[in-house]
Amino acid sequence: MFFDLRIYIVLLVNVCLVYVLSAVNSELAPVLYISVPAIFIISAALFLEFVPMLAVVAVSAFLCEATTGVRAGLTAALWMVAAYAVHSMRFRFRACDWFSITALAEILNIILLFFYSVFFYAGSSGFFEYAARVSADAFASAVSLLFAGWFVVLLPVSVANISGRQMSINGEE
Amino acid sequence: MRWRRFTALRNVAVFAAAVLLCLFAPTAFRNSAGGLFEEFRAPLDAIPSQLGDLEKFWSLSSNSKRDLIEAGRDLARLNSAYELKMRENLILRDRLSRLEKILNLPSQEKFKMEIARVCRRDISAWWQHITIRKGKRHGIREGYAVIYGGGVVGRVVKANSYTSVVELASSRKFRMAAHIEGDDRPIIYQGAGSLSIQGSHGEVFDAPADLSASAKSPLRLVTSSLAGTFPEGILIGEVVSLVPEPDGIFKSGKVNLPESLSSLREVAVLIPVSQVKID
Repeated sequence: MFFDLRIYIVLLVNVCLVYVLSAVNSELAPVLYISVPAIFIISAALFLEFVPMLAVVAVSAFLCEATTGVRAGLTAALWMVAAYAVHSMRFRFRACDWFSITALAEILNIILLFFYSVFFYAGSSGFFEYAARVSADAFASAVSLLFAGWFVVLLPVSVANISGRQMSINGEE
Repeated sequence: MRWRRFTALRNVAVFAAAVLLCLFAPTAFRNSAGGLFEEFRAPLDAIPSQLGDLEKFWSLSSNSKRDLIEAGRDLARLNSAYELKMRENLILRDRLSRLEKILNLPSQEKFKMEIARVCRRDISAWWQHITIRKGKRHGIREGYAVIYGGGVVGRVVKANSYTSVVELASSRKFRMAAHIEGDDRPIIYQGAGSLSIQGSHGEVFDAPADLSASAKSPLRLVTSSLAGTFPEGILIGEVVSLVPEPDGIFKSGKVNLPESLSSLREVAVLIPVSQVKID
């Protein structure tokens, strides 16, 4: 089950995304913070089998939350629930067109950011200031998904094609 | 049909077990897993910073000989001025240590500075951290104070082998004893949490009622020796407003932190001298 090259391709792409996001957020700080957990989840949920998908999503979540200081494991649990939901309706996205993938990424991201804002709240000087900052970050993340979401979600497919493997949404409905 | 049912049941069981493990596994297990991933991630965080250094090196190496000669000449002048200062410093230190020995006083030197480069800034509504390129291998431990030329940066919350995570003074989890410059009465400082685009800020509590501050005449807030990990008198920020608390005995207010806090390139970690001797 774990000797499938596709698993490592998705994992490698996620590790690269961690690196890119880290560099981008370093440069944007403190004005904006791009938070796009959806892109780490959708590729694995659409193109991998169930158990490898959970493993890839959990590893990516632990990598992302490693330096955040939030309760270890909480992000991984949230991401796995999201991945389970996407995986169970993956056949609706068989076409992999720009609109459906981007819409999925946007909706999933907004839901996850809502849960982040509830679970990761560490206190702030005012509720309005907190809500404004979270909304600004969510908007910036949504805009970045609009431009890069489809490309990033299908990036593992392109890498798999280059390495001579087929990657598609398959399995029994 | 039976096989499909078995697969579906197996998937749900694996999913439930994985989620429950993430949520309810013992804290020690979850923390050690988190630490493992943090060590794995450390090179990812350090690479952009290392590449930046390399880029700077190549851009400098492309300078003309004339520029290098001019820069060398300027540096030589600066060096000679610093050498004089160093000698002066050395004489003063010798004198201080002699006096301490004669009077049998405890040493004033409490901290050793470890300069470290910032390799990552992680500033969001939920956390305000920076990652530096030095860790346990360089004597850094959790809880150590971090400062820079403009004042307080924060406190080390996680020390890995080669990197450390520093919680910024603007974080809601950062709290310390402080006082107003020129006034010894202790007050409590706490970060304000989510950073706004206008700049980072914090709050003060339990300030004496006779103090007053405004944006036009701010008060300088500095560290207190009561904080333990920080030496006395390092700038935290400027108190720009003070209003009475509900009890009427104390005042609370807003502190503007230096803007450079969120764009730092290099910081100094204060390692207690007693710890250096043990190491």
